[in-house]
Amino acid sequence: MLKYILKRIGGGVVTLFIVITLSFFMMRLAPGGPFSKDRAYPPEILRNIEAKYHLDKPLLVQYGIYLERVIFHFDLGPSTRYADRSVNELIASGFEYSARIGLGALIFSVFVGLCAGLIAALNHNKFLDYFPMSISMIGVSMPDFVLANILMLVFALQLGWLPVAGIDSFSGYILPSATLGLIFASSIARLTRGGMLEILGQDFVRTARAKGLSQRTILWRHTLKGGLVPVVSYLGPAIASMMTGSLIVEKVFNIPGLGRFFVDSATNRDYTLAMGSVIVFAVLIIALNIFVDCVYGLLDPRVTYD
Amino acid sequence: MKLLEVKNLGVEFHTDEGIVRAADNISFDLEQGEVLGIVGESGSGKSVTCLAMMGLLPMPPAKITSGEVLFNKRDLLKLSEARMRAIRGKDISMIFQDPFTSLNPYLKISTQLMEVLKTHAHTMTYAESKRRCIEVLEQLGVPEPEIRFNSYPHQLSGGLKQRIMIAMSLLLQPKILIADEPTTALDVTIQAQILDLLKDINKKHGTSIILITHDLGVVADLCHKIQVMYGGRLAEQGDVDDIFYRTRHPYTKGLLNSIPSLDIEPGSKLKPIPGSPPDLTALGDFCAFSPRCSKVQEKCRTKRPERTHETGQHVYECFFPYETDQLGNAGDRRVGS
Amino acid sequence: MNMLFSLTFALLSALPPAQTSKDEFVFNNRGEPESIDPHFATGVPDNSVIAQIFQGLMARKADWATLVPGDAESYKISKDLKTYTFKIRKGLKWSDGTPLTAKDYEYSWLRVLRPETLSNYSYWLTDNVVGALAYQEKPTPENAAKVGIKAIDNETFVVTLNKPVPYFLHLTAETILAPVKKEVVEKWGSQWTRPENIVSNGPYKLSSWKVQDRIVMDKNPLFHDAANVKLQRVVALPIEDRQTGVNMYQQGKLDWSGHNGAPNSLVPAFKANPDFRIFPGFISYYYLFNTKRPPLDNPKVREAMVLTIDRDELVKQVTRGGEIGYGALVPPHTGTYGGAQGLPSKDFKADVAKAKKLLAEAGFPEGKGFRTLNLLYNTDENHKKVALALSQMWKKNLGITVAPFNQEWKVYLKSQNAKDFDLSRQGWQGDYPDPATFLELFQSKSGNNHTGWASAEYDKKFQETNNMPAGKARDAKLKEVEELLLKDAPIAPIFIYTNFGFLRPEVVGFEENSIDRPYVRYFSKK
Repeated sequence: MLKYILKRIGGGVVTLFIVITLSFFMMRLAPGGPFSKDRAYPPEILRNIEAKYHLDKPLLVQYGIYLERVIFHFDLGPSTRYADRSVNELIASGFEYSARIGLGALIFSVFVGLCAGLIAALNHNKFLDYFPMSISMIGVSMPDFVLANILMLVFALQLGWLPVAGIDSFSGYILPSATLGLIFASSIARLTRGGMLEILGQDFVRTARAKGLSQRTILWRHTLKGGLVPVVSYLGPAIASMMTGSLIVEKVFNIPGLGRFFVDSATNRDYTLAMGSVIVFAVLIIALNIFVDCVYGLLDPRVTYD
Repeated sequence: MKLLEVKNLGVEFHTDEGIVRAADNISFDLEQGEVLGIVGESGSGKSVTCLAMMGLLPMPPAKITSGEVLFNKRDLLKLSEARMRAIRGKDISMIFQDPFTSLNPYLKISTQLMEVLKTHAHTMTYAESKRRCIEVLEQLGVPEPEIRFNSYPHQLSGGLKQRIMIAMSLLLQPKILIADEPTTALDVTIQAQILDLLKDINKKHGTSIILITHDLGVVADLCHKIQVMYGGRLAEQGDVDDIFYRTRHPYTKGLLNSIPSLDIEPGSKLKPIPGSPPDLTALGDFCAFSPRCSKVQEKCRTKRPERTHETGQHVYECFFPYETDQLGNAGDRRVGS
Repeated sequence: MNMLFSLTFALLSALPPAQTSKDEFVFNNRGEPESIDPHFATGVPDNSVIAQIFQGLMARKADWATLVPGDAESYKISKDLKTYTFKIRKGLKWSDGTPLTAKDYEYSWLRVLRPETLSNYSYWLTDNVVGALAYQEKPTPENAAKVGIKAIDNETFVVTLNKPVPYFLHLTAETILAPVKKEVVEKWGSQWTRPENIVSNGPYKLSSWKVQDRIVMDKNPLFHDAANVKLQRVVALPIEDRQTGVNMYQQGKLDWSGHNGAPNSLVPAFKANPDFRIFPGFISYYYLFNTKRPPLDNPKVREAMVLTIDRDELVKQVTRGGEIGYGALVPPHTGTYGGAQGLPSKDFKADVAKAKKLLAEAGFPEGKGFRTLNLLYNTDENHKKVALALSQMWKKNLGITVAPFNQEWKVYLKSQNAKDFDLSRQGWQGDYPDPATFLELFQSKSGNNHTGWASAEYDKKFQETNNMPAGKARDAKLKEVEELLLKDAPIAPIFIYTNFGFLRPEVVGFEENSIDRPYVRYFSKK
């Protein structure tokens, strides 16, 4: 197993390198730069600004400078938008909040999704199957800003149970985590139900019944591991998404997370911040995919790693 | 002593295409230590009958429309689920056709064996239970049983898997073992081994066995009694000699004729039964076999044959059964209309 | 749908008691400042913070238009209007306790000129101050000595201009010309504005800045007028989503929902709310004509298009954000300036008839033979609505086709600079309360003039207004200059933005000012 992990990490590094290179050059294709403003800079000033950020050098040289900084110093560079902050700082502070919300969302979505999916699978084609699945259909199709605003209106404004925005207290985390979590819970519920129904229809479940095992034993011991396989593969990239913040949830609940940096850095052509965001996301996805593949081995004994 | 009495069992499936009469007025008995073979093609109702007995059919879409299944004088069909669970795996065990899919690939063999004991004999200690499992594995000829005990199903061959299935079903020395086509998915040499195994179990421990199969050749050696089913209905039933030497029902005759034998001349054709299996939603008051029967007459198509009891065990449903004289030559005998 | 909920809620429910304390002012700054270096920052969120923590030679009253003495307790202007002598107050201190003198001003203004400061507004000095441009091009100590910015002694600061600038005092009140402390800037470089390093001279000082969370400023006890500063603390929140801002206000968490802190579409409904205020702003919204592309090179065509915009209809039915339809460029009531008339008259029908005639005279009767014009705007729902509405009006009234197209902000800027458009939307905010801040845009050599229109007469007349002292005569001349611009119509003025937002009734002293800037030093809570 260890050799497998090392091999995957090696592959991951190569992937990361390709992602960085492609992103770096593709970003420059968009017209405009970080310093095009509606009030034009005097030419002398503009020249100075561009020199400060190495934007006057040939593209390949800029690429080399960037790589050297990232690989040897783990320094993602200065932000062109936030003049006195480094990208490392910005991402670290943003990630802290996005990760917290993401963790909350993960717990919420897994708990709600698994329960809903299990209940639905065990009551196939009855009310307890249709009801949670219809709700999850709505959840999957509803745009997240609608969901976020509805939850905020009901729980924060109308009932006053929770704060409208801001995360100065623990209760401030509840709504954003729940909103983000519900979005993923819908998918988890459907996958759980599908996976469980498939397993429940397998021959070995019939064998288990023929042995006189109770429904509960069959559910927990015989079917859960196999039924969860589709959920596990979904969770890999899903966790990466949750951790890096949803722009909508952050905007509506005013969370200082990563999501905003992702989008704003593109609009502002803040190349270093945009690259930093891309790198964070890529690392997360790669790491989580490796993790998920290893978890398979724990769930399904037929999976081997040579 | 009669262990099992099945009387007039009827099972229906309510599907979108119509009501399927999967089992219609099925009756048979099983004595202690007896091996009953239930023979028929796919869809003849042989599995459904046994699954219904065990309460393993999903209800809906299945529905038991008639009959009773007396085990030790208690009607299994009327028992609560909890009571049935106590019987399954302990008094009556069932093994299934495909050992590749019938074992849980995610769990170790040990888990799947031990849980039978944990469920039905929870007073046994871990050590005692493990000893019992190994003991049974040895009895069934599993080489290096300790190693197999700790393996996962995918690490074992098909034959070995089936032995383990059988082991699982014998841990608590059930009175009846129902084996639903246990050798169909295995190759011929392994088939013979498994059948020998079953014979052994029956002789050594007196376990009654119901062997479900589509292959008449398999039952000859092993079974005491044979029941032939067609279209969910009883075609013919009797002991081995009745069926093989005093065949009455044309379907049974057809089955016997289609068995390839070593005596046939090379180059000659096999003799299958012409036609295709019946549509179980369209059966009614006529003989189910009539479309394919070589001896069919108008009466067969308009009325369902009644059950004829020839001798104590020998039963069949046919208006124009075959006759045999002392020398075993078939002829025609007309039954009163 | 959510808007409907929120709207109903806003109208029906009473404002809950304030969740902010009595001696702080908490508001939505509508975004995260890019920087709070006063010489470099340009954005609105930046300036609302800088205005609390820095002060210049002159200061502003809460109405933004009136000047009062700042760090300079008095000033003298020479007869030729070119030399300003400022007397700096005795005993001024930086927030770290060290003395603040004229020498700090000399250092700071030279810093604005130096290219590495990257000051976008350095042209306020390079255009007007003797030797400034030369120093910016080559910032050597020799050139520094030749710049008309001198600290004669600790209390005397002399500025020598190369021409009279009537609004020069307004410039000194703006954050661009605020002083910064030399030792701090040189020691910390680009990190000098971080809360642990920064030193400032305003009524408040920067206590903490959590990116995307909040900026907290506490009262500066060393401020020369600290006695009159009532509120102890200012908190700026960077809530970009306007709906969220309103929601937070409704929960009592904000004293002010911020500059334009409510969704545009809800403004007509919010007007009924007693906490909601709406008043004219200082941003002009107009379309540029690319006068180098036929048929827009013909002033008759341009005039016809200006006359056929039904501004009343537009602001009432389309934009509905309470904007003020306007046919001129400079917002009325800019300082003492009254405003110009422009081409449109009070009679829209008559204007349309006149426009039809003009178009025919230009060779396109009823729009025949007129090519399709494109109209560039940056991606935004509101700009889209305006563009579509105006296209329809031109189609209906003149029979010509205008096709709007949108580009993302940076791309739009590029196209505009490259003059790659027939018509282009532009919005311009004035920097100081004098018409020159708008009129200077359309000088032929202005880097912000994208119309291709150049008029020597306009340039000359505009320069003349700069040579006059502020007053009625100059205002009249400015009106002439603006009318000249509007008559030739390189732009089609459309409307003036309003400022709107929710303000808690307890807050006293926040006067409605054109740029909606909160000068918290004047606020108190009852």
